[in-house]
Amino acid sequence: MIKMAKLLEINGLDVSFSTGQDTVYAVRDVSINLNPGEVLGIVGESGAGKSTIGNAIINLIEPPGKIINGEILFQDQNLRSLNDQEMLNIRGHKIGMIFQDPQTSLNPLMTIGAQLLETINTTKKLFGKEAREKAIDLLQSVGIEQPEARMKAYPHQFSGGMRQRVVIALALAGDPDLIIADEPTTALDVSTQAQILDLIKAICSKRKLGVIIITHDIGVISNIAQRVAVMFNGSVVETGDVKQILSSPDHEYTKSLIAAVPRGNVKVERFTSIDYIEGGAQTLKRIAVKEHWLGDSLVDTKSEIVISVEDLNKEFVLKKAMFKRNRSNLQAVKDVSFSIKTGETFGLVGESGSGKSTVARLIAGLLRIDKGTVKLFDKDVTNKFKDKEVVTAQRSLQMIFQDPFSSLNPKMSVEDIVAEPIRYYKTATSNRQVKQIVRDLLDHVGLGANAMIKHPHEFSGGQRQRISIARALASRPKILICDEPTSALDVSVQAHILNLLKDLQDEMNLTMLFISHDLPVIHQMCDRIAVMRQGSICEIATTNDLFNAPNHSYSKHLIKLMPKINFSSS
Amino acid sequence: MKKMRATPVIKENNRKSTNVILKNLSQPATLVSGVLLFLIALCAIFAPLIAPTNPYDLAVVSIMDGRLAPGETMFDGTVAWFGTDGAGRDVLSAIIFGLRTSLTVAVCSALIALTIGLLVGMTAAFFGGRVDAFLMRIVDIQLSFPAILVALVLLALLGKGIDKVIIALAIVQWAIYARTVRASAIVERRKEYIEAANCLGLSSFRIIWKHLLPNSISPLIVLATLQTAHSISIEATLSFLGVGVPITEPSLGSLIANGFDYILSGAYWITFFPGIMLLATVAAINIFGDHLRVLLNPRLSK
Amino acid sequence: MLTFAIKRIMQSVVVLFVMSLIVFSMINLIGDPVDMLVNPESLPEEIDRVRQDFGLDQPVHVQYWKFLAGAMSGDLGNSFIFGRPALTLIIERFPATLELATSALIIAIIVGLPLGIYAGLNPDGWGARIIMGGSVLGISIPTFWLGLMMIIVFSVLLGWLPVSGRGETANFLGIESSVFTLDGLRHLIMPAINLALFKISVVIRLARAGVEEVMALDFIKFARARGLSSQRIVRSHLLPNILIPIITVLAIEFGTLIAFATVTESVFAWPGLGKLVIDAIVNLDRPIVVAYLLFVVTLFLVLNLIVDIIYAALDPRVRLQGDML
Repeated sequence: MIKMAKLLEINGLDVSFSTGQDTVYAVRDVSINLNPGEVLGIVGESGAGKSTIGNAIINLIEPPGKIINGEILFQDQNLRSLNDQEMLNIRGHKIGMIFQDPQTSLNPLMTIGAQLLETINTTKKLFGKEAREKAIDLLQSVGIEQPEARMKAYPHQFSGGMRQRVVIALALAGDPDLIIADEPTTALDVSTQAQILDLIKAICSKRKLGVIIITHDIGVISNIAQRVAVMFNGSVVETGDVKQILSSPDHEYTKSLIAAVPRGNVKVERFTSIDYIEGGAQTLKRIAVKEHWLGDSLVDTKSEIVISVEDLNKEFVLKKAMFKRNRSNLQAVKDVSFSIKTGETFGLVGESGSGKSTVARLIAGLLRIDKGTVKLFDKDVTNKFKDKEVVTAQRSLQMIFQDPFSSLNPKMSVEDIVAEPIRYYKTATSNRQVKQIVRDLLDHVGLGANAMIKHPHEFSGGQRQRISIARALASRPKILICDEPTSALDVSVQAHILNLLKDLQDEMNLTMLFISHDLPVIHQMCDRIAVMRQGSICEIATTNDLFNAPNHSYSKHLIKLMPKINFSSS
Repeated sequence: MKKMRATPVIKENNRKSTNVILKNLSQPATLVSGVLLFLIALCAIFAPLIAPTNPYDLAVVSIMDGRLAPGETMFDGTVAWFGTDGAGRDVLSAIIFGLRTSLTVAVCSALIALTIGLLVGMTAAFFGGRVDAFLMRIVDIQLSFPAILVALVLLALLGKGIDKVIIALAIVQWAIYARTVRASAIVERRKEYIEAANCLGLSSFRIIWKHLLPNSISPLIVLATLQTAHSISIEATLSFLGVGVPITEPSLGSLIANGFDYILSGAYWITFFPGIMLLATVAAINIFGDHLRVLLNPRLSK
Repeated sequence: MLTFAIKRIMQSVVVLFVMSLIVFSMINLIGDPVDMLVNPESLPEEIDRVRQDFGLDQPVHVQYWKFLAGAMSGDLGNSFIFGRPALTLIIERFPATLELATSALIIAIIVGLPLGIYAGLNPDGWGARIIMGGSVLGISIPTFWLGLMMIIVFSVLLGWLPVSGRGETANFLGIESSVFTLDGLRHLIMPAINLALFKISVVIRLARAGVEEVMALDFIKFARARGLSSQRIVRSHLLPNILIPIITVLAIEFGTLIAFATVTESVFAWPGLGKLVIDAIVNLDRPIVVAYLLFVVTLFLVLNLIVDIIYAALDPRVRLQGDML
């Protein structure tokens, strides 16, 4: 077999970021190569340095970042030896790049036609009618219908998926030989993600492009890449064939990473062997819940049904107007009914806009209910915000939120955050006891007591979620509502947090309402699941039934879209 | 959805922010302006003790000392470093006292405006809906008229006097505090830690006081600084135009107005030095405020 | 678009009514309204007769109605000092102020925009530091004091420019202005630059902040990744995105300029609206104050309206709503 020249070869790349006194290595001694027509995935969690490599190839690293070492050989030419003008000829013309967020990648004040034409003018040196024809051609090839009309449209007039197609068209405008795609589907809806990945696959095989796809999502890698480089903390820990790496990974980190990915077909009790990353957190003292303050509770739960929701309805006003006909409302939740038993984990799954988060907030009393009833422990709590008994019942319901960034008050110390409900409701007898309880809770969630004096910004995302969980525990809840608690976290961190939630549920016999858009996660965590779409429930079933024999067409659709990662070697 | 790091890249955040503070403070501009501000504040507070003479003590002032050039000696032996004005008052002393008036008016009006603005802005942000729309409509209407105009008209109707000037300036300024607080508070209101506080069952008052307020006020600090500088300027302008503080307690603006008449006859110092002082004060506060803004704005990515 | 414009116009009319109410109540609350219409030193019989003549012995809502009626037909009383209708005087003096404010705005844009954009594109260089330092100075210098200093230097010491007043005017394309004569220009230069100085600094800071903000956005990065040159990026991507907010701010600042011209007109004895009003305030010529208030309120409302409409016309996100493809 003739040995083909490599399209791209990176040797010993070092990229550093200097801020004042500290110098951080974003990328350390990385070597990667890519053959023409091949799709290489670079996978890693946040901070791994994968995006930095993409930026380094076309020399778009912004100060204080700097490439210190290494050579980047593209079609046998060392890109690092090129000056600015020569680099301009490479960008767009030979190497195209796609970024994550299509909404911000396009100039909002220029029509997409204008943006296409300027790229074609610059890279292909075509003008006038020829340029226009090429632009229309490009739009068609990325699947945009009625391209002539769309040329005059502005970016905000497109939906997310369509915008990303435009972005791809722009990257292809110069007929490059290599495309770097940096998290191209992360900002998109599940259904759109699949479409865009298919598009990338089709285009690349048709044009025989080399593609580097940078992502944190193993599902994406298994869908479209042939080879993969796994990155951790700035270095490449393992490279190889995708099938091989998925079925028998070599490096400890890769093993941890793969073990942490929630499976859509098999339910595990806990995620195992994931200690490579956050390791050390698990060696802290755990409380014997039954004897601890945590074990006492406000509400006596004799009832079998903990949460009961009937015909729940909620409408949001989108456009206010004087005349009724101009008002537009959004029916966020429509006639939703379900009930949750003690100790059960009930899942609400759906895409964005399905109303699942709204349902959670209605149950928690954070939003006003328009129609319908909510009962906690057989007590009707619908819109009863002042009733003392209701308030007590509602205190036994706590919520874990999605964004670890914004769910903690940045100006309070961790101790104050966790202690607040204890102090406010005076559920402890002395300040010393309060401090002890806080220490115990922080240990129990895997953080450690010396977190008490620190502030939220000193912690990572996963650690912040632990603080949130500790705060929820400080109310001694019987019900825990988890609204996408791990959607903003890396896969390995997610595994830890999900383990923690499972452990807590076992210890405290918690009833959980678990909300997510991620089917594999739902599969791992829930006993029964409700599928939601545009405010209504399509189907309620046990986990087994839903995943093996879904009834509703939408459920079938969602399950079909789940990434089918083959972790076995067959 | 943006992913959080598994481990934070910036290790010791405490050390980081101290470094930033030190780095900012050691920049020459901040240092100079900070020191200058400190001296000015001292002058203002201890005016009677610092000034060489009391220019408003009619017993001491004598027309014989009129229009002395800078550096010349007055009748009673004190040196008039900045000269004297037509009535024999030592310009340096007048400046020190004038500074006191200017600063008093500016700081008092800023405090009143800040309080009112804070109340209105937080109320609008917390309650939202119609309350918010109504309050902000009033704010918008007021803000569409230039400060100087509103102040002029108010003073025309209120009359002269330091208290009237303070009131007028407070009325002119509250709206921008309200809008700034409301903008900041509305963003914070949507954040999940407020929802969490609701979940915990805390009272509205506690949520506003302990959670919403502390996180909404940092832009106010910068604003207050810059607005103080701005109101010193406006007050000076008003006094210059003759509608500001009364002649018995002149501010720097009135001093400049006084000196206007002497320009053509060559006694430039009566206008010049108060002006330089005004410029220096306002500039110092502005520079300080600018750097405060950089300081309080965490550009460091988490 | 049309419904948007109509809605805004209706809102403005409402505000105008509210403002007229406020002005009227202020007049009534502060002292005897007769003082506003009559020379305070008249005989008691005179005062009573004026009171009757003007219907000031009638209930308040009738008075307000008469006031409103008068206002809409342009009658806001006569000035004490000049004895002529207040509104007429204001309209006569307005062109001079307009000329001054417009010149200042043009100077501020021509000088401030390029400097601010440069400072934003090269933020770490010495040029940027000097420019930004200068801008702090610019917003700190008291306008009136600077005017005095300018007079001292350029008129008294150097004798290059006239001390005060407005020069000769000439007519060009139907506009009567002093920029068309040399004498006019000589008189206009100092006041215009004086008024412009503060604004130049504001424009510089606005432009620089805008550049910093936009350059950090993703579409700039994507433009670079597509191989577009820096010049093209600045021209097609940066400028349009900073100019729209800057234009809208400046349009409102124009209103401030007209108000602030008061100061410059006092210093340079420029025969515009501002000087008229200051004299009126000092001399207790209240009809002029009232007329000025209402005139200026109307002016600002119109200005704000125009700004909103311009903004809607320029930004496609506002112009073309809906139509998701």
